[in-house]
Amino acid sequence: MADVKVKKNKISKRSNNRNGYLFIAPYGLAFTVFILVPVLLAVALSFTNFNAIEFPSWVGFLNYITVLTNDEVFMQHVLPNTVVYALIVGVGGYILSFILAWALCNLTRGFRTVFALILYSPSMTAGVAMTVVWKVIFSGDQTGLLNSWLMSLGVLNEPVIWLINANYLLPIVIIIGLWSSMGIGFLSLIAGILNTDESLYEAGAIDGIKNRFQEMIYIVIPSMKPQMLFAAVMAIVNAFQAGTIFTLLTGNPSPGYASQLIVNHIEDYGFLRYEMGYAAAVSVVLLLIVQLFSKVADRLFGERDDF
Amino acid sequence: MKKMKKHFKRIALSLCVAALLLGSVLSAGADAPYKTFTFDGYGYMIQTQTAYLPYETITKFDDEALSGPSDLHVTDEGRIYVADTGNARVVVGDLEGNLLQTIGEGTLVSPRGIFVTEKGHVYVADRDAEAVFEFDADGQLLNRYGKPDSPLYGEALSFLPIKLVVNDAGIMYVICESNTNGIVEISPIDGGTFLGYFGTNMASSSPMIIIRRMLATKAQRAKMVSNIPSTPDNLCIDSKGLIYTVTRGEEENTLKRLNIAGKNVIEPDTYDEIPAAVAAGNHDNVFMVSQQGFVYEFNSEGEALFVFGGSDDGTQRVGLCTVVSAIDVDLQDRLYILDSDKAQIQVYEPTEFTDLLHKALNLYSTGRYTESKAPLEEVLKMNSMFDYANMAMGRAYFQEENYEMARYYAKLAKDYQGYSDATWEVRNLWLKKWIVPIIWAIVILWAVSKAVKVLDKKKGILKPLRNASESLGQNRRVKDFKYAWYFMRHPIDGCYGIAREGRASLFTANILVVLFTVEYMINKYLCGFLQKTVREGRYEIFSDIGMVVVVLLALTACNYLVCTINDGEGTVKKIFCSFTYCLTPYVTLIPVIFLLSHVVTVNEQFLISFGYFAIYAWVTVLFVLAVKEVNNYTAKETFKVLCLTAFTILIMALLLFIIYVLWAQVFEFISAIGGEVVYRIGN
Repeated sequence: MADVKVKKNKISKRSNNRNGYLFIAPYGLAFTVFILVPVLLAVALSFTNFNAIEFPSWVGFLNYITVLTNDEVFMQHVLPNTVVYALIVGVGGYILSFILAWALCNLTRGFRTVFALILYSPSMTAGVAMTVVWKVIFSGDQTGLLNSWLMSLGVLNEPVIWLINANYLLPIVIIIGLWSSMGIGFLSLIAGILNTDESLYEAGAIDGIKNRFQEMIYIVIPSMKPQMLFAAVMAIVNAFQAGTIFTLLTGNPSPGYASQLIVNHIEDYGFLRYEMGYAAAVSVVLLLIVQLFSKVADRLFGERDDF
Repeated sequence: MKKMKKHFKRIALSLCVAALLLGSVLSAGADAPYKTFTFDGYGYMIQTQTAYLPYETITKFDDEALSGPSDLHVTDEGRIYVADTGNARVVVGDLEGNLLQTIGEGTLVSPRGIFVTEKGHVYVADRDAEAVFEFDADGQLLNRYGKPDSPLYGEALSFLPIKLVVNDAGIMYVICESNTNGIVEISPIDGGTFLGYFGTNMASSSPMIIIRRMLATKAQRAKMVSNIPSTPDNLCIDSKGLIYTVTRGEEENTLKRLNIAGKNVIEPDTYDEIPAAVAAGNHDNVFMVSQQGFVYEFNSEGEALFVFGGSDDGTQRVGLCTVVSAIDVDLQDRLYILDSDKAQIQVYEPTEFTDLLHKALNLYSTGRYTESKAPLEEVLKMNSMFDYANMAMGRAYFQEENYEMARYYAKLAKDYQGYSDATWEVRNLWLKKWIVPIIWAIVILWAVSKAVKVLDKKKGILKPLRNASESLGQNRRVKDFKYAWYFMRHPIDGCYGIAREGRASLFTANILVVLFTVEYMINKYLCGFLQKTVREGRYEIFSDIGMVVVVLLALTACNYLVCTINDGEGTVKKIFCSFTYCLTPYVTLIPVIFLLSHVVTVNEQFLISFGYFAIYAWVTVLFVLAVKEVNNYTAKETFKVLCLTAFTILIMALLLFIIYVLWAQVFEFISAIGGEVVYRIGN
């Protein structure tokens, strides 16, 4: 009797597994075709010299060695720009999202939804906003909003051509990046904060929590660690992958490579010069960088008790 | 240790060199009535050997004395043209004092400015005649240009020309008295066509003025001193047709080089508040003279090479001037300086040192880097501390792609950009050489670590090591240090531990302070050249240690005093320990920054700035939280206590200062009495 039961269990486990695989099969297929294979292909391409017409020829590590030693634009402009951008927009945007999410959660439901939508919209509509808002603000003649404002204040005597001047490009791009950094991670933070168990607040109040700040430190943050981790990873990935949108504003390559980010560099080599192998190598480098920073985020926010 | 020894050797060597140099400077300086200075890499003025020696003083040409002259011009043939204002004429003479010609007697009223073209045409700016006169080489009047009749000139404006230059196309650039619109540009076509204003100075404005004007009412604004741009005082033109102007009252931008669009393209290292005149030299250099007679020589980049001369304090020594109004250079690099008060021309000639430097500059600026090294070496032999030559040397080596040497000389010259560029190249070469081994090493290390982990899981080969580290972790001291690490990442719980569980120990706190001090000093004195905030070769170790100790003690003491009267729960030990634990981010992150500082260039400097920002922000947050949690304060109380602590420290510093001053008085008094007693007994 007992034997039969065990056997029955085993069979059902196997068929369970099969059912499970069946269930994920559609997504697994799509993932393989549209994500896994292209990534693997890119990695493979990065070891070749490929101009999109002839068959790729194998060159080994040459592309990677070139990235690190011979590509002065990459080492002198692109990498520093990207790291500065990612550090400010990634970390700053994350902190900003958290503060705004927390502030929004103190509002009533209707207002919260409206404001969340408003804050979330720049990350979706960046392309439109770029032409409608930012090009108008940073226009290089005296009709540009920033110029006319500064000139009427008497700070400037003549208009500054913001989008050509290499000194201003990176700060401008960073400001826009911060403005549009309230993305999916922001929504997940709101969800996390709202999902915190109400009874914990009461328990905390009984245990001597005096103010909202302590509430945040002792209750909200510990109970929303998964959402924090998700938002952090999203912030990092978004910060490193930004760049495509800015070409609308500054062109590619940007003047003096002042706001050239890695993604722009990949575009430059991949779709302007058709050096696909080299572009693939740069994107693999980008992948490694993102992976490294995600690991750091995981260490910071992942579930781990160490004392 | 070895490095220290090397340092001492270098210091000793430079002292010897300095002593030798001082000797040579003194012997050379014996026949010049002034000292010559140059600027070292840090921008400090240092004395150097004499660059120009007084050669001669011309007081009159034959028997024709000058009267209140205001401008002079020296041609390539060595003819000296002087605008002899008081006698209403132009005097032409030579270096030997022979009178060659007088021009414009009867025509000129009050000639203030003069310019001679290559063809020998003499242009004179006459203020009182309100016109510019053009004479040919024989002194015949060719043209008279009066006030431009173009409405663009300004109907109400008068035309009072005082200085002028003429370019190769015959276009006159005239400075007019009290015309703030800029330099008047007149073409010779149709008897003088007004082309426009050129090189207009901007009215200076500061944030303070802007704010004041924003706040003031209209009536108040009308009462303010109107903010109008200054008129240039003098100008010259170089062989490329670029115009230099000097302007008084332009704060630091007294010397300007104007390109064809009238934009300033030079930013000199130094400036004089009352510049009188400017002259372009033969080696892309430019001379500026101040009204008191200080002569500044700049290279084409605006870097000051020499400053010499000075005003005559009544000793009538040759080489000193009273009121300078003009300067010019001849083909032999002799300087002619017109002293309008003494009505004489003071001539200076360059020394061998200066000639060598000019030669090197010439070669360098024309791109013949390798050839420029020989004269530069000569210059450095004469004065190894002449940082400008060191810099040129470094750049020459850089152009030759000898990056190690370029780096060496850039460091000597404190040429940060050059050093950074050379470092970049050196690093790049190193990377090229080692990148493949490094990649392989990383791959192998990764594989090995994976293999060890797998083996450890299966057979537990790392068990003894783990046990050892665990037993080490049980050690009290190690536990305390681990607690500092924990404190840094969980400040609130960490403070709770210190305040309620007695987790911190004084021993660990002291070790942390020592670590902090040592790291602070190592980072301050031995970090990479680009990050260095103190001068090379300067060490103030004791004052640094004193500083750290005093600040920490004052902070602890004052904070404790303030907290005890504000219901704080902290004891001295808890407060001191929590403060020292706050330094943990500094102690852990500074080594990384220190190592980085040796490999980064200007390009990656942001990494270091971000690092410092992170450290300081972290330490500040920890500090505030420590004050809050250890004393069990609310946010409001914490803020109050922090302000009070800062105030207490201020009062304490003031008190100490007063005590110091009083004690100094007491000591002075006692020593005075002692001296008196000795004096009385002696008598």
